[in-house]
Amino acid sequence: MIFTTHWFLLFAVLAIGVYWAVPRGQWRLWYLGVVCVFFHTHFAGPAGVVPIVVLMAVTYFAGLSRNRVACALAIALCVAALVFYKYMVFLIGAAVQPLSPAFAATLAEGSRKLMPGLPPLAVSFFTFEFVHYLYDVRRGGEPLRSPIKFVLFSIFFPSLVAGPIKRYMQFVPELEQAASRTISSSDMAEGLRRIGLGFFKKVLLAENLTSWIELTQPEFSQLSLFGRWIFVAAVALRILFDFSGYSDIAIGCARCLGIRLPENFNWPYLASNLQQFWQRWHISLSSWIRDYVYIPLGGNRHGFARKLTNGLIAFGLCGLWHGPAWNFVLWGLFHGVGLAVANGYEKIPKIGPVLKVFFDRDVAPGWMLTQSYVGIGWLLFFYPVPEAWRMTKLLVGAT
Amino acid sequence: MIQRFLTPLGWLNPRWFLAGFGAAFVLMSALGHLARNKDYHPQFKRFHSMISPETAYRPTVAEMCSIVRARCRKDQVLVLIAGNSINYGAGQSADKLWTDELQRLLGAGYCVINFAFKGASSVDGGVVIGEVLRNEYPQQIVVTNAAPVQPAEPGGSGGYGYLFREARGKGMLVNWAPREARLEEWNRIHEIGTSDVLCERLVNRLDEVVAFRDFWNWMSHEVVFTISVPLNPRFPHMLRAKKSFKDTDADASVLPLSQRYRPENLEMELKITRAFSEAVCERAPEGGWRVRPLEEAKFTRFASMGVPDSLKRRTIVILSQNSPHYLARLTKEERERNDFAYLAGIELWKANGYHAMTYAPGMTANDFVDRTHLVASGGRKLASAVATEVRALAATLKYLPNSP
Repeated sequence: MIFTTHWFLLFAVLAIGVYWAVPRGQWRLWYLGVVCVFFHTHFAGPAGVVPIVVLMAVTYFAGLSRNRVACALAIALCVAALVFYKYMVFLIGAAVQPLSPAFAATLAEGSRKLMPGLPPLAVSFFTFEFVHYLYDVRRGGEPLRSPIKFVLFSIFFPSLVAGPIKRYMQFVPELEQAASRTISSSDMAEGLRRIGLGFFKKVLLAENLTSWIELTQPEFSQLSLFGRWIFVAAVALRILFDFSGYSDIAIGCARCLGIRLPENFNWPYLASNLQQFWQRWHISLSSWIRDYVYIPLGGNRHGFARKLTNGLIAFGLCGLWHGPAWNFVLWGLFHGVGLAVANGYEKIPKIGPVLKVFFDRDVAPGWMLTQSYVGIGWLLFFYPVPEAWRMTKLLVGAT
Repeated sequence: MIQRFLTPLGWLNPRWFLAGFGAAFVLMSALGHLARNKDYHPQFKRFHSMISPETAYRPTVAEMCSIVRARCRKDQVLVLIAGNSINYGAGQSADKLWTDELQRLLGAGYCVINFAFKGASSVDGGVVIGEVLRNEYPQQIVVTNAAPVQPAEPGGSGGYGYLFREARGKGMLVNWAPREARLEEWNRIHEIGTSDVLCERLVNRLDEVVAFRDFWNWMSHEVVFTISVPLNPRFPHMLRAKKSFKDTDADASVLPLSQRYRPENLEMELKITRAFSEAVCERAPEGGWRVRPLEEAKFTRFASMGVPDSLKRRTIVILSQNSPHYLARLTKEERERNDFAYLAGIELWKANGYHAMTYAPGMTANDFVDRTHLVASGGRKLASAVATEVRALAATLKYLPNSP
């Protein structure tokens, strides 16, 4: 993890220290641009920088043209790049393999030759940001004319690796404001607090939980029923502390530069229904999926069946975003189904209204049900489907 | 309360927060500097598993130097043990350690410190500390170990090379050009970029100033350890200070031979035993055996650059042997090749400026706990052989072991 290296710490201290010493205005923006390019080149390598440079240029000029067709084509290119770099081998396996294993092998071999060993650094994050930018410009938003502001939106180092996924209309005013003022003690204090909190979550909590989970998982079936649920809670807390720890470090670093990034987590395990959970969990991704997948598909405007289908597509894609594997897709669909039930159960004749009264009277049952569902979802997220199914059965007392 | 603390700092003046942050940083740094000069291992015998990199605890250069300073006078001959688990004493409990026997045999004019680690190479641990203390303890002998014709990568092994890099980064080592050239070559081969090299230098310089490594180790040893590792997986153990863990390496003498030499491992262990000589020796055209020319060239290159010339002459390399249990099962030809490899190995180490030795002929299968590690009886035999070698070398180097 980049944030927990000596390199990153030294880099961040130097980059932030010099940033406030650089004269206000354009100079500061250009300095930050150089710093971000250096950061990206260091971790992605010169070859890894090429995809983002190409997509950045295409996105910038397509946005500048404000041409709807050009923006649509640029969106298609961004999505194609993401699919190519991250999902090609998975899709060949899923779609072509069942029809013709030989052709699938040839295709996979061919695509491996074209692709670098690993997908370009942060390809999932920057393509989502580019798609958001092009989509909003295509719908009449003001494009970014300043190349340096666009570069900073694309490769702003604190959020490059693990988000949060930015929106340019919020990010650029923050950038401009920070570049035009002097260092503030409240920004530095809040930034350092968030960085400290992030390291505490990531290094002390998440990594220790990971170690415990890895040692305990092989003995899952030997645990007591209570022990198994403790294990699920540990898995759930591990991913929260891990991911929100990254986000805290990113948000804290940006804050030390005087820039506020959007929040990514808001006590998700306090949610008492799935809808609330998704308003609190990985907020920048879930709101992106809502705005650029679910709503454009029609959202909840065309009846229950269409709403259900749109929800499943959106959550299926949300799952797939986490990695090219079936368990991620199933995890997304699992949440899609859960959300559909959570939103529609009260319409079930006879039982629905009774259940609604029950859940409305006290938050505890809803909270327990939601968090149990989320916890079982994490088993699907982290383990192969048969193993997750076996563990789920054990959670309800099966032997 | 927790939520209030974790939410933005509206309740606290940011300037006070920053002042507190700065003060805490200075305090931790000051504690780190204090720890640097303090020996907080009063019962030290060796870096057992719970206070070694095996469990995410990395002894620092200053920490190890403090251990030496707290135990050894400058008029004694400092004998630093380096090398791998064999020299560490795996198979021997802390109260039957071969290095204690070595100390007893050498007497009060010598001061023996065991800085060998499980899995370390012949240039890790004690070799680095010896180089760091070369001027402070000019009367010193370093005892390391290796396979017959197998020098280590200059700069150390993966898990333990950190010690060398720390000492080098802080300018504590001899500026040894051949070794520096190899390190640059290594960086090129492994595509270590300039900014990574620069970062390592900066981190070491920063550590010199703020002493964060020593602060962290002192905290971990004395107060709280925060990393869960496979050897202490249970949560109650996770936070326990390292000092609360005892050296639990068992005395393997009590194990019957059937448990030390398991039949199911025989083939694999024989294969490894053969490989000791097979990989480096071949039939000579004129008859007999010879070291493969490529292996000899590689050996000479690495052995010559591993330790500075000025320090080689006080370094004893023990060529660790395999158990007679396995040697007896080799064919006649394989045994000849094995014997040749050890003789040739000793000559090659000597030709490169080191002192080299191997075990005395009296070792039996009973002296080993497995293919290579020694139980207490084997340790005593090793100590006896090493003591003879150390005394002879001390005399050659004109050291004056001074007993109180």
